[in-house]
Amino acid sequence: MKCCLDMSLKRLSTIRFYGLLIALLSFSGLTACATVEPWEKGILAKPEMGWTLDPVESALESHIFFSKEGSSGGNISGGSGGGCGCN
Amino acid sequence: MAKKCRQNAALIALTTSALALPGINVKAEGAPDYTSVKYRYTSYAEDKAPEKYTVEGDLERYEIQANQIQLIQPIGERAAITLDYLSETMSGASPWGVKQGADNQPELIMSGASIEENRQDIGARLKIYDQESSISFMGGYSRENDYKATYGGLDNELHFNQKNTTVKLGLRFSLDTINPTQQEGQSRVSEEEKNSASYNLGVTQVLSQTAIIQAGLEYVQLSGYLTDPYKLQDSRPDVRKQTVVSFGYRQFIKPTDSALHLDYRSYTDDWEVSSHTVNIAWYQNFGDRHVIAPSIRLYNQQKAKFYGVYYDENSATEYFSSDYRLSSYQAMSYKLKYIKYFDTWSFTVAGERYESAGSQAGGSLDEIENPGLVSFTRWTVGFDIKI
Repeated sequence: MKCCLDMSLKRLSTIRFYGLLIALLSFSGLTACATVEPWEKGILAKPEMGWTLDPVESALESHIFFSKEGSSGGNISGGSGGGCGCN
Repeated sequence: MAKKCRQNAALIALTTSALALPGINVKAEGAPDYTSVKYRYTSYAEDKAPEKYTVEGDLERYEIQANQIQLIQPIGERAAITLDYLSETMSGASPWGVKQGADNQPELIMSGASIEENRQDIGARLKIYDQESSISFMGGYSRENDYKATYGGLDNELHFNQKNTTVKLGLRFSLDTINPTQQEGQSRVSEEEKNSASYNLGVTQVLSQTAIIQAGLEYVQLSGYLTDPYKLQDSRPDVRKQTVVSFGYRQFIKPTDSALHLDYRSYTDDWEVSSHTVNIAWYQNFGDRHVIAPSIRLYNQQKAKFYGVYYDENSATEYFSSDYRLSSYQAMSYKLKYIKYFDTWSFTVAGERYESAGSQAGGSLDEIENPGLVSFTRWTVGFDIKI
């Protein structure tokens, strides 16, 4: 029973992963029709509309989470640098 | 005719200035035209270890003081170099392991408070801009008394659809060496190596004049000595394959002059650790160029397949860890950030409180809350200068 449950959960996880992958790959195609002209991007250029408002603080913050949690990654806009994070 | 020319000139000036502002991928088609220097000081302090469960070692956990400086220097009209330097001092006690106490209660073994380390990290990034693309090369070196890391990478951004769509491809690697500090009475490795490689794909799409969305996929492979040399009875597989899917959304709200940030990350790996992370932030402009930004981060993690709250000699397996970071738990953090912009510089201060607690569903031994779970408070203060 537990084995079947584990298999079902793994299958569900695999389906979820490929679902997200397909969504990601089709993302640009589906939304490519949205066209905002360069002179209409004043608001998008504001600092508070950036992916990371403070990349220096975010780099250290990412390193703290990398050191103190069991998962990491996903920070497309930057990295967390080196370091052990053992203690 | 003259009026139309003036309108075109105004339009070009407006477009040029919008494109020159730093911040997001879609308009980053030109290198920055000024030098900038950023400085941050961070103070990080973990809560004391729980007195009720701690049977050995010191209760005072880690404290970190970090100084960071970043220099961004334009090189010609189509390139910029970014230099980052970090120096951090770490001190305090750290969890070594958990053992079984009376009535199956976990007993936490902490190190002494003698840990005192300094880490220095220097990194550089060269970004070259073209009309429809950009490429970045980066590298760095991190050194502390028991750990050295040499890392590098490459990013390539491609713009499409009048720069409303950006595709980003990235590669990263890190070559690390561990030389654990030796401790009398404990058997620790003398020198081991650990390597990592990551590949990521990101797509950014402008949805409207006030909304933008991003999706990312990342695959990371770690190999080598992945055991924590400071943990007791810790033995982990020498390969770890991680997959991360992430989404980000930014919406500007004109009536309130504010911006909403939504971020989500789904993480899975072949150690069967999985997690979901949600981050929600609100950037509120007010008064004379002040910004205040409250945010909340929610984190939920499922344990590694070889995690146990404490070691059981009778059911010993090839791999085992009682590291709280590999347990099932939830964490919530609250952050408040304030920024004041002046003409050529800005000032920022941020405070964050992070609290974690075990997942209590079920009630089996594995779901006993690990007493090593960390809660911390962080303060960051700093300034940016445009030269």
